[in-house]
Amino acid sequence: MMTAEQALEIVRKLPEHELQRFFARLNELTKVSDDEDKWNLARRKMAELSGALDLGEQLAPAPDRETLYEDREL
Amino acid sequence: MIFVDANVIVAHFAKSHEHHKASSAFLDEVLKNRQHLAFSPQIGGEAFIAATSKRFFKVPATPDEFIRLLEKFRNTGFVSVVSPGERAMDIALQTAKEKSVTSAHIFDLIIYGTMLEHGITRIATINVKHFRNLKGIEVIQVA
Repeated sequence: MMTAEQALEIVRKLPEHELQRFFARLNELTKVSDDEDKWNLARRKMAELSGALDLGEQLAPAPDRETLYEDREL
Repeated sequence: MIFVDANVIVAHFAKSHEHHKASSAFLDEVLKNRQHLAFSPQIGGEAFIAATSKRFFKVPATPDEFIRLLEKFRNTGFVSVVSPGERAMDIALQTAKEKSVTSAHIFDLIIYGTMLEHGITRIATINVKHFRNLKGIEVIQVA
């Protein structure tokens, strides 16, 4: 594996059009990586919310909307 | 983008909910597949009712507990809040007329209208019967 210094030396010697291609590809790869980090972070945050409420025994099944609103006085 | 029903949010938060594991696994799978989630203010309110009411859990959440979690849910990343406008109301009322819907079932149709107004065609719910036979949407059962 080459050192960072060696890699920079190669990049410095690239002709203009190759340099542009290099940075375009680098941007692409960095973008994908940033994107991946965001999705992974979202998954971690979502996982932290899983089971965060300790509500004790469930007294009724997931209600339909009619049941949900039945106490609501208009 | 997948619209999330209130029951999935409550089941995700509440570890004693009968569909807790399924709901948490579903939400993780959605994000794993890089799909965005959405819900509406109505859904936030309904999840609030279910989590803070003594009718559904032995130890209901306090308003503060629930609101803090819902805020975190909103800020997870890739979760949007979409609001109903006039078009959602028009769709809901028109569909109610066509299907002779009465009473609180109109709230199912307001969700339906909100989805269509925002171009969302999939909803994840525990109670699929709420959205059965509504054209233009796919209902994903979480259970």
